[in-house]
Amino acid sequence: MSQRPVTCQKTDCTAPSCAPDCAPSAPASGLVQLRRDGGTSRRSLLQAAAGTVAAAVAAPACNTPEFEAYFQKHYKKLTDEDKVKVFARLEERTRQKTGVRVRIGDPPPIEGVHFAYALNLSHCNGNRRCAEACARENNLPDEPEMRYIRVLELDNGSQHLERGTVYYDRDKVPAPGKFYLPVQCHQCDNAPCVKACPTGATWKENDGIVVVDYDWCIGCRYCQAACPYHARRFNWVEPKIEPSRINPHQAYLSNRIRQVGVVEKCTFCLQRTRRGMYPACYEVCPTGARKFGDLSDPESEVRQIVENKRVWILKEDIGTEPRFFYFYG
Amino acid sequence: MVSYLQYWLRMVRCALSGGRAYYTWMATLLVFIALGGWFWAHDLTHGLGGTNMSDHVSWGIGIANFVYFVGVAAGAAVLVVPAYAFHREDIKEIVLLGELLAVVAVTMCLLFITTDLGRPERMWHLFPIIGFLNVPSSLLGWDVLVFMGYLAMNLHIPGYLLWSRYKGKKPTPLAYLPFVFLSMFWAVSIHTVTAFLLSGLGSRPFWNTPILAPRFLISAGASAPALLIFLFTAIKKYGGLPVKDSVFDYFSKVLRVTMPINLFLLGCEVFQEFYTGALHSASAHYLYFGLHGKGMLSVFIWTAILFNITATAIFLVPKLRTQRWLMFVGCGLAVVGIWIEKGMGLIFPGFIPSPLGEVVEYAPNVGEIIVCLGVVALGAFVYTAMAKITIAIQRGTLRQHPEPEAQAPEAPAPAAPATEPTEA
Amino acid sequence: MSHLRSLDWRRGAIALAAAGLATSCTWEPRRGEPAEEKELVVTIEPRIPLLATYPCSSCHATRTPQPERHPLKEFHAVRTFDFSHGDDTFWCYQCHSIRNLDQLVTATGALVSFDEAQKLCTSCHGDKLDDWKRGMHGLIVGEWNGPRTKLSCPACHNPHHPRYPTIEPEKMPETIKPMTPFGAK
Repeated sequence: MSQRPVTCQKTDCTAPSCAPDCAPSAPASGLVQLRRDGGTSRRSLLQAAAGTVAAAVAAPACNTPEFEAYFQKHYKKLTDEDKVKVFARLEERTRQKTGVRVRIGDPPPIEGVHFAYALNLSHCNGNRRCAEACARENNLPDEPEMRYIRVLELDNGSQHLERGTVYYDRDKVPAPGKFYLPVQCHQCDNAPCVKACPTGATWKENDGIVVVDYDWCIGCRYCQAACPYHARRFNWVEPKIEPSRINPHQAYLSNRIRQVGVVEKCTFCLQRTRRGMYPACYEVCPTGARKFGDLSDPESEVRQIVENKRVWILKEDIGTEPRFFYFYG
Repeated sequence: MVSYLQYWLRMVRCALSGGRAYYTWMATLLVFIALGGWFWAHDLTHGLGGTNMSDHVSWGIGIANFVYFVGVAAGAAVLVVPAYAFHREDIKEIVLLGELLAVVAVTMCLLFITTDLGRPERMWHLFPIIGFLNVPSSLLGWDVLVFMGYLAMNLHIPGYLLWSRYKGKKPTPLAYLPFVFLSMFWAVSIHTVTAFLLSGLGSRPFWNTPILAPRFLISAGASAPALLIFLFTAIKKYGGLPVKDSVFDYFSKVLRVTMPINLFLLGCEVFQEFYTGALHSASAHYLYFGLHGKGMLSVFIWTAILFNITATAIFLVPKLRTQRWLMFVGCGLAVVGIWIEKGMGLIFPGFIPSPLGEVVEYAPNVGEIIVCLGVVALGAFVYTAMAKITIAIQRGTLRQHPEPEAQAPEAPAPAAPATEPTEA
Repeated sequence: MSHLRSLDWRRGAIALAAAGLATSCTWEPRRGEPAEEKELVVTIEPRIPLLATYPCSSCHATRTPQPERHPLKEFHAVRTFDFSHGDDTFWCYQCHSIRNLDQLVTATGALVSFDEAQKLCTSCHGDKLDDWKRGMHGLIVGEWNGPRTKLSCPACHNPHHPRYPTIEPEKMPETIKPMTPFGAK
């Protein structure tokens, strides 16, 4: 029952040139970071390339960061060189605002992997560790409070969501006669939010994760209206987060510091999971209710569950085809 | 080229000249525009946190007004169709004013959306080529397209006709008639796409109904003529444009058809929601009777129903509708009733309860209302100016080569302190 | 490796010209990185290092085992109140070997180490064994596509009162800010 804190033992810093304090002003390390999973031979090549790029970046000094930020292209149209500049600028912005040196990476999806989540409702006891660990890992603001995971407390024998509540305040959980239904982004295969977005600022990646380009979102909130799982959050005000609580291991498409006026959501902690780690909510769960893995791997836990347990999905009638399965076992 | 510049200068001069009443009216509108702008500036610098919207009810009065004014814009077809398809001369005389109303309504719609965005400065992301417009998949993307198209058409048609009249030339039918007929269908499309925007969402059972598009079209056909009756009464009185009584009869006839159908469709909706008794009718329960002890909106929807029934009765009973003042009352009730039906009666309850069953209520606060008022005031301001110019050109007081018998511009009084549906 | 999508522009322009309204509606999906060949090692967390008083024989060598049920004294006194596993007939030697107290004994009489407690537990709770083996039941730590460690039954279920305890939850989420006529701040 010992609670396992989420530890970031695996950090970005596998690249040789990546001294922790060189982050903000080092496009070279940024590029290496982009290809962190690449082989060493390619890495040295890229380092050389990065040097050239760094020189090119330094030349046109007339471009102010504000100007560049405003005309920043869509994530999918950014070249590797663009990304180096963009990430460095974002790192610098965070440093100026909060004084924290962070590293923004861009781990790509792993080929052939399709992430999925399974959640055992017999085991979940509603302790909300997942929601809090998620907040820390993903740099969710506390003022005003934002949480990706909502844990509903429901009466045994009914899945009538309206009769449940997320605002249960108990000394001990589980409460007798209740069961708990945590809900977060279901990374739907037929995602209504992706269909809805007028600017293509949110899309589904090859590994199944629905991501948001926070620098492309115009904040129309149509995706929020479209989401049947109440999984999307809007930054109504500039998100405030205590510098000491900032997780410096960030990814462009997931847990980097967000801005006011854009929508965000759970990304299955892609900054962790694309590097082999489990999501924060998984790691912190003391009950073993949460199961995560690659749906295309026949040996993975989620695949075993989907094949052998009687799984169900929330709001199947809407046809969203979630990658998030519930089961009792 | 020079003459075109001169044309613009003369139009601006025409819009800037007027009597005391005209200036007072325009100044009042400017005050509202400034107030709205000031409050929007606050939103721009602090985010939308100052509104009463939340992650649960993420669209508020801005989108409600947007949906309503899409109806007004589409309602211009009420004038265009009889004027061009059935060649009604009395309506042809005023059809330009209807098309300009569509221009203003579309502009207001775009402003309602813009003021509701979290990042309005990133609007360029929506433009094809430099940005990315997510069509055909996003209905909001489609909305942008059809709005731009409708705006362009309704700018082109009156723009071309007025320019021709100013030059004293006969307009070439081929230069505008194809667009006129296209715009008739396009008017249907803007409201249909806006309905699809809502009815396409499986996450919101309250909107997810095929009847939404017909409802929108019919309610547009009801609210637009009601609004136009006020507008043309005002134009007749202050603008000096002789609007024939047959025009008002025509509006009243349209209302006699659309108001009952609107009620009928609402009834169909209510039946389906309550007879089935499925969980999906939670929003309807909330709207009409309240849910889990919360029911802020029920007073509004019942008011709207009462208004709409009364208005329908007024238009249907010959004895009542022939009373001029009663007809005005009926129009007022219809305008307000349908406005409530689309805002408090449709947009807000669609979000309540939230997809996870939370009942979080929403009512706009003063800031949101003032921003909306600012947008409406801007619409009224632009429309007044455009109507004044249009009337001047149509009556021949604004011409490139003033005919010798044409009198000097007689400083026409302001067009239309039109009742805008701005009730908060 | 390039994420340059310059072709997309042209294709977009052609589509725009052709359709009159639409631009290219999808981007090419981002190419994934080839999966790294990782050896899958699943280990089971050893239990003995966590047991403070192991080996049991260090005390029990000097004490005679008592096969019948009686109130416990000394170090194990707490079990008298604490024990809730199975019915009245359950006693220490149901699971602990009476002949070798440093070993456990399964329902079929086989001796197993404390590090393999799952073999003991599942000798009765067989239905859980399959779930646990397939990773459907129990905690697993490590990497989802790499080396990971399976935790054995006693990591979560105290063998002497195996029902998962009630625990203190994290704080309640903030309720929605109340609506105000003039808005927040």
